[in-house]
Amino acid sequence: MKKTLIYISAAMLASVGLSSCNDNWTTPPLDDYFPQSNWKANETIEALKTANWKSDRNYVETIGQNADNQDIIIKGRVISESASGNIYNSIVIQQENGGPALNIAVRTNKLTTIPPFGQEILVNVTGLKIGGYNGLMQLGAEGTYNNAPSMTFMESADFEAKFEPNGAPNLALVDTMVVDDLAELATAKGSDAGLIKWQSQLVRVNNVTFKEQGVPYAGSSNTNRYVKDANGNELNVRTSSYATFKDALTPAGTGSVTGILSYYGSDWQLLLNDTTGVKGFEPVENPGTPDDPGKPDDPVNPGEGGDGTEANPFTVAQIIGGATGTEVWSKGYIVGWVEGQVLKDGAHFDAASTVASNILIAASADVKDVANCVPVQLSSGTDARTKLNLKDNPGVLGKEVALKGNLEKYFGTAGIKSVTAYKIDGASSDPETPDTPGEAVTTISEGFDGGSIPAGWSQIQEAGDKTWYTPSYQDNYYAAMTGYKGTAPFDQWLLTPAIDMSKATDKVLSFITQVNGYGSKTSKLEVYVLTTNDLKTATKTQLKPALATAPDSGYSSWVESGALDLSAFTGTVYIAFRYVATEDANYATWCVDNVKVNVK
Amino acid sequence: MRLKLFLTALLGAILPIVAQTSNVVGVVVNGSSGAPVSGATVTLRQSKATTTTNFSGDFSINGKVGASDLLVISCDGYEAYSADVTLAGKNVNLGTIRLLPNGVDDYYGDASDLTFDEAMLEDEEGNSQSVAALTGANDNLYYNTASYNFGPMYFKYRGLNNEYQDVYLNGINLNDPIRGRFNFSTLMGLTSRAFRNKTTTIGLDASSYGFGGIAGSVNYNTITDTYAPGFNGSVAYTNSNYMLRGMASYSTGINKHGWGLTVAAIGRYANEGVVEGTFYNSGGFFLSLEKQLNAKNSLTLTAFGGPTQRAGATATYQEVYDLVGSNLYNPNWGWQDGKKRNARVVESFDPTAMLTWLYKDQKTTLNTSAAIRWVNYKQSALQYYKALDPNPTYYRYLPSYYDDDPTSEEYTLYKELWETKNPNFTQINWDNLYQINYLNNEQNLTLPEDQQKGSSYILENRHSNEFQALFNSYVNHRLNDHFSLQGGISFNYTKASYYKTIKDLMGGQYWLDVDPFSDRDITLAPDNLQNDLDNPNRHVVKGDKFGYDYNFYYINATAWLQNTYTSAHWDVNYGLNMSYTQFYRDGHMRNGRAPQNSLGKSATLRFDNASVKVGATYKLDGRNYFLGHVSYGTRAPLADQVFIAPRVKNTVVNGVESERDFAADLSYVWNYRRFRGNIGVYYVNMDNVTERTGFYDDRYSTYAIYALQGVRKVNKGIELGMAYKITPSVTATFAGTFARYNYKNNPQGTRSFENGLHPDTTQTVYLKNYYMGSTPQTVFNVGIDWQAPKNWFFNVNGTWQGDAYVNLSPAYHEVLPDLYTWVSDPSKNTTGVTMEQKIAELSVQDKLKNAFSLNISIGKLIYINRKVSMNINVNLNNVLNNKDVVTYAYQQGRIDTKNYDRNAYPNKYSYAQGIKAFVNVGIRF
Repeated sequence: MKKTLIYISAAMLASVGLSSCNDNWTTPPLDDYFPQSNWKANETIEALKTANWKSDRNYVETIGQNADNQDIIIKGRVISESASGNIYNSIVIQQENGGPALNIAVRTNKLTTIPPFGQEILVNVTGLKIGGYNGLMQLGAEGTYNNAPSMTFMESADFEAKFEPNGAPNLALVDTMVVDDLAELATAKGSDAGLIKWQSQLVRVNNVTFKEQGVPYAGSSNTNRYVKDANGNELNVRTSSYATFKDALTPAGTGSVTGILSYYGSDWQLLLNDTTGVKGFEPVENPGTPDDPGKPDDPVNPGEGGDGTEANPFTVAQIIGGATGTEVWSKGYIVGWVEGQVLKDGAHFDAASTVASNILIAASADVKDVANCVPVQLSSGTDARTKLNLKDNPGVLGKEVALKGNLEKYFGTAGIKSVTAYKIDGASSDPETPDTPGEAVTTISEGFDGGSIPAGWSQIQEAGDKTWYTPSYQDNYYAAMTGYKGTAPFDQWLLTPAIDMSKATDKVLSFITQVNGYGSKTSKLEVYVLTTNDLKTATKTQLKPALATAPDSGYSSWVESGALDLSAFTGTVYIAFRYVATEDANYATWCVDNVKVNVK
Repeated sequence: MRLKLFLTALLGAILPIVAQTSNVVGVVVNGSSGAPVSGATVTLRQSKATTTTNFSGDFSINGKVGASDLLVISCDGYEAYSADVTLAGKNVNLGTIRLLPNGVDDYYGDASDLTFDEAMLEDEEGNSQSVAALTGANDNLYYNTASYNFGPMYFKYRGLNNEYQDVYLNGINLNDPIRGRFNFSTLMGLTSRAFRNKTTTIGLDASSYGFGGIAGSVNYNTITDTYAPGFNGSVAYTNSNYMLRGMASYSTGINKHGWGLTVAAIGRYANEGVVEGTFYNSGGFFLSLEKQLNAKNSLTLTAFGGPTQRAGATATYQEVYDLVGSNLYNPNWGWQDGKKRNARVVESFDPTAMLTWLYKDQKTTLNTSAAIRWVNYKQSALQYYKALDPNPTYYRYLPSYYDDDPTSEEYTLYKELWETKNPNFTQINWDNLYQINYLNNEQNLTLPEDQQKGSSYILENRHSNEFQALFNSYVNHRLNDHFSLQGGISFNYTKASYYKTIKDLMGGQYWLDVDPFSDRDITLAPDNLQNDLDNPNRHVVKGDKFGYDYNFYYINATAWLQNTYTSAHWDVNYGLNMSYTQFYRDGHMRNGRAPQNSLGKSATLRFDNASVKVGATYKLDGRNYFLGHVSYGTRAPLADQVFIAPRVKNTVVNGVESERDFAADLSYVWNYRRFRGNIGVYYVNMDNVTERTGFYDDRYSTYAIYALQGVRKVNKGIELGMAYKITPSVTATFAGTFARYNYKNNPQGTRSFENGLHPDTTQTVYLKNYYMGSTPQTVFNVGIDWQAPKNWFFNVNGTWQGDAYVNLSPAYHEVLPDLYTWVSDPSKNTTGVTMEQKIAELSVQDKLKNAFSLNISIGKLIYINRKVSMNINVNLNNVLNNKDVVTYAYQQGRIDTKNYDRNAYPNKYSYAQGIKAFVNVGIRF
């Protein structure tokens, strides 16, 4: 019997080898998901344009082979967007490192796939036509302009075999030329070299205003809208009547416009890829709700060096110089992000981040040298990551930020890790003291356009298991609450940050509401002024705003609350939006937006 | 003679021939069935020698010459046998020794019926598919427990599909040559009566009746002589797919003129089974008539057949089960005229007739059989044309289709309709379907003939019939006391026919024979619609063939030879199997989707295959022995797997090759009076496998087919079975396995749409290290058996099953060419996942919940007098009433290429029922 036990244990042991641990599941190699071209480029876009450039507005050349009797192949990255319909039957490609761009005139409708923005493609141009169409150099087919030979669109089938996509689309490798002074463009069109350099390029024109504000980009036909810079120089922003955004309104204020710099006759015209290229302006629909609420009074002490306290944070120079500490405050400007594992290879100084896990900060917003930057790790699940990463928040680029974290090596250099709190634009996060939002604010102007319940706002759950959230409809975010799919009853409060009424000059509250109607009997929205953010101790004063009325089905339109007088209140108060519902067959969804206090 | 010399020389090295010994040989068989008893312990008391019997019941043992000795043979499940033997000379041949089975055998015999009843499930195409039923009754403790108690998840022995197990009847292989598997419903539920005499061969063991597959084999013996004379009847109640069962069998034994007759009949019935809307109606008849011509020759005629009509259930989404609050929800039925009508009714009848000539002398057994067999199988299904999908679980009828906006009216409405279980909505609405057909008739009165409309809805029957002519002859010849030879030849001709007929026009006037699903895409050429281009737009009525109509013609010839050596310490066997297989498709319709390639014969596919098998047992003594087996060979692929879309065209998978299988195992067996068991490891490598799955793709409203080619799979694991007799009547048992059944390469997959919407495409499918689905990889069973006084039997056992996965769909494991455009489009990729994250998310294989099941059975044998006895069995499976056990789960074959939402097309599940009772009362005399 003893022998038996020995045999059994020996067999058990022997079995272990055979039944070894689980092997990992395989997935297809990542590269296989992307088209890979075997073609090799043998000429640059710049060389092709230069070789075929003529100052005639309309002409057609046929591209032959190169000196080695080989087909000429060029390589470029797509900088045009086809989805919005504004850039139609054209694919614009850009030479790497911000080299010249080239318009390819092709009827894209029957292409198997239209290469997307950021996609590198190789084009075998031998046999294709190149030339001018009323001044714009392009690749395409031969046509006529005013009965003279000129360029026109090639058919999809003629282009299909002449190009191959290569690799994954990479937005980070798209370069945008920055134009701060429109006079620069006026100068450029005066020379062949300038035209070759700038025609079809992706440009961002800074500090311009629309001449006509609050009008659609295009009407029933292609429409010219002009922007002008501080010196009065103008640029035509031309929009197709087929553009999906043609009904959007030109904004007010000053901002930047980004698009393809096209050319017609003897003038530039800017073709927007879509309206995301229109930045920094003030929307005309909502002139009181600027996208960018402006810089806070003094989020970060601008002194020369600090000691790591919240009041006196470390500077970038101090961190690079070897400052140490855990849970210390640092400050700097967000200037970029890092792709991959290697800091010097992966640093990008733009907002086109593909990762959310890090940012680069520097002493000023214009730093482009990685040696003068400090990488900041944004750990997943943290508020800091949600709010500061450039991938989701391209708008934070160039902004000053204060961060509480540990000074540790990151990317092999002095960095900041374990960020637990931050301050940017007056918004802050400090999970250690979430219930005391710090300084009371004097104004509130909240459109919930950050896509989340804003910092400083808070919720109190008196009953139920649902919370206020921020859905969006037609690109507008708002706060909403519903008992749908929850467990009744509901009593959910949404509180503004503390408002210091003593400093408020215009003590008026306004907001808009919307509600849907599915026969809810009990769902209600109530609005209160609270003296503290503790419902047990606070004095509650219910306001009587005008509220939306539930239609029979679907959503009501937005209803203005009217100007609610807060002049009776002094000291620190909170505005509270309360959703209450008891058991019901259906729960209404109440929506709140454009909450304004002390904003004229 | 030369062969014998060669064999002797070959094995000489391991045969220490001890002088002054007497070699005693014999064969141990089951006293009631005549089947060999393997693993019985044979002891010579005086000589203090022990050994065990091999697969054919043979033993060889060395005793001291001259003395008389006491021979004792014991085996679990049998009464012990002892006899005085005189060891007069060098060689003593004891001939055949019959062991009498004890009552436990009867007790288990009836319980095993349950296992066979369960071994049915439906695959995605709605074809019923029997799970490889373990056939029990062997000395391997692990295997026995697995057979009876590894439920309710569908356990596959060594993770192998049914097609790797060969099922023979009197030596004739009855596996379906087209689909590969044996359909256990062929046995009509008579497993404890007409088909009780069987020899089970586990895994790679050798057998005397055939070469066997890598999952083993079983041979059912229906020679009249092997049935105990007398009457045997029983009535059973169960709450399963049927409710009532009655069985009776009568055997005359062989009379003095050499004639013997055994007849058996069975009826199974349920007006409604445990699953709502199902029913079960099955009868069966069996006859075995033997004429013993003389002492050595006998002829036996075996004939049986059982017409069956049953309505089944289909796997569906978890969402639906949750909405209606039951995992036994069945979408296949609806109310009509106050009765539940099921759209999926299977009608089958497989009459078989076999003539067997048995020759037996001292040294040779020759078993020759010829059989003919007709398989008639049809399953009904709803079909529709230019109308809404009648299936209540069609994805657009589910709230989840609208959950983009949970406040929408559709969402609310559909959710309420489901939750209130409004049968007009959650079940088939027959009245509505008839109404639509009547409206068509109404309109036809005023329309010119060419604009008239046929039925919008019909019930069709999908037939799959076979005619088989089968022949087999096998021989078992004892060369001398140590060596024996087994071998056989067999021949199989099968004509399989597949077609559809109209079962019910449902009030309409006719059915237009076009592919209703091709019509969806207007860009297709009109010819594309036609199922039969030579009879375009044919109007078909009840009974007419339509849709598709084709045959497979299959021929196989097999020969095998095996040599066995038996000695006191060693049993060795090695053998070779060779076969020739050919098959082709013959289409009877010129299909509009493949006009050049559908009518007439396909190319004939031919395969030459061979396999070798070697096994050895080292018997340290009669208590401890070690076994090892190795097998390597090729298998012809199955016709069902290599034709990409046989309902449409003759096309086969590119470069079809035979499958190559390697299998090996090692085990240790101990066998003490109180403690016995076995532990072993195995490794199976299946290479170059062709796998074809079909699924209904309601995105394109068509059957889509995915054929995988060059698949490599590895199954490996540990098996352990133990039994310890706490007292002579109380035994504790343990059986468990820990295994991994993995895909081990990234094969090529071909996707084909039956409606011809897209051309076939072939791509790499990245399956390496994924698991084979719907079978648990880890199973443990602990039980207590009590053979109480006065013939009471009690058994309590619990089974834990885990590490089971959903059957995966290749679509999630290929390169998705447009995924990167989705990922790089922030308006679609709202959460900002990276390619790596998205790929990982899409390619996860979902794991099924672990299951625990507690089973209790009680049996009682009552001997009314010397002749008459009664037995009563009560089996309660899943006593804890666990209704959450998934028996079958598959990922849908399609993928959401718009949003790449993994949950857009969720898995489909089938669940085991809760507590299952089986009460059986039998009488015999």
